[in-house]
Amino acid sequence: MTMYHETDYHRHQATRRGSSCRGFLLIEMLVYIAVLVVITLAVISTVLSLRGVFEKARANHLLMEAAENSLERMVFEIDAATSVDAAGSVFDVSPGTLALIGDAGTRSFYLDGGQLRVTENGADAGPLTPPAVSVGELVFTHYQNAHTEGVRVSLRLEVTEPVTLTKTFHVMTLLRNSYE
Amino acid sequence: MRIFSSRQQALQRGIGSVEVLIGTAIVALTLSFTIATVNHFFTVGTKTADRVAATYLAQEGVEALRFVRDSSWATIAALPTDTARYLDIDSDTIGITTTPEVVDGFERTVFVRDVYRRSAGDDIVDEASEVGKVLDPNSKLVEVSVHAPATGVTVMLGAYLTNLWTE
Repeated sequence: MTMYHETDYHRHQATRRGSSCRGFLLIEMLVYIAVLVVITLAVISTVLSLRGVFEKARANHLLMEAAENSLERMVFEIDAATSVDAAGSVFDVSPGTLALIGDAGTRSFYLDGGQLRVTENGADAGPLTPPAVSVGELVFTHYQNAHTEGVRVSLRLEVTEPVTLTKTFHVMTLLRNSYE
Repeated sequence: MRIFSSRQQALQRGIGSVEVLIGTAIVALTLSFTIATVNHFFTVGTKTADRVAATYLAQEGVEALRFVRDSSWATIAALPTDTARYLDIDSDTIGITTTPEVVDGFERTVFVRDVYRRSAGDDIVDEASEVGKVLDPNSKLVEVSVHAPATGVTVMLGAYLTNLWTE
């Protein structure tokens, strides 16, 4: 190390080296810390935003899955039925009940504890909606003319966790086996 | 010695402003693209929910028109072709009206089109077709369009209805 002091060149080098070793100025440190804080805040904000979006997307997915499962099953059973059991049904109010008579026996759709359930030939066949989705409204409307019968279903589904999401679906189907 | 000295300087001088700026820009771009992508997926998800609801409404529209046909073919036959009409569904009856229908934010419109059949045979041909064709008074093409203004989703279903009960 003593050779640094032996020539002008080495003295010059030693001066430059000393300059490069001076560390950061206060203003540089402040700028870098500010940049770091901004980046950190942006990352945290993004992560929180993404979490919210994913929760909404998950709730949306649950709602769609429940809607398609419930409505497709009801449309299928109404389509295949030969007649509506008016005495066993509750029309035009929520919660409604729909009792169908078909070649495969009887089917009944009703609400229990916020879940849409189905019975097959009088025996409980389980829920059509998952526990995370509740049915806020279920209305059946019965239509009849000289040739056929039809049922309109209004179904409002609600997801409350982790975010609140509500959507109402309407579908109508004629009883294909009721044509006379 | 000079080379050693330069390397040592490079190692000891720390991060320059340009590096910080480039690093910040990369992080900012990455965050922006991530947020934009996730928002896009969420928008698509919301549109999908509306598309499902709109499809059921359109299906309901076709079934309601089929029910109207079963009640009276004259009601369908009397509708002006290529003109917007709307369903009037209440708890007892289903009719067709000139008053626009909005169901839970979805606009539902009905169109009735004439049906032409090839003179030689019964095949349905387009109205603009130049082959020999005749108007079939006992068939109509009904189209149900459901539009969600909030998301811009539009679903359209069509079906041929015939005078099944030969009134």
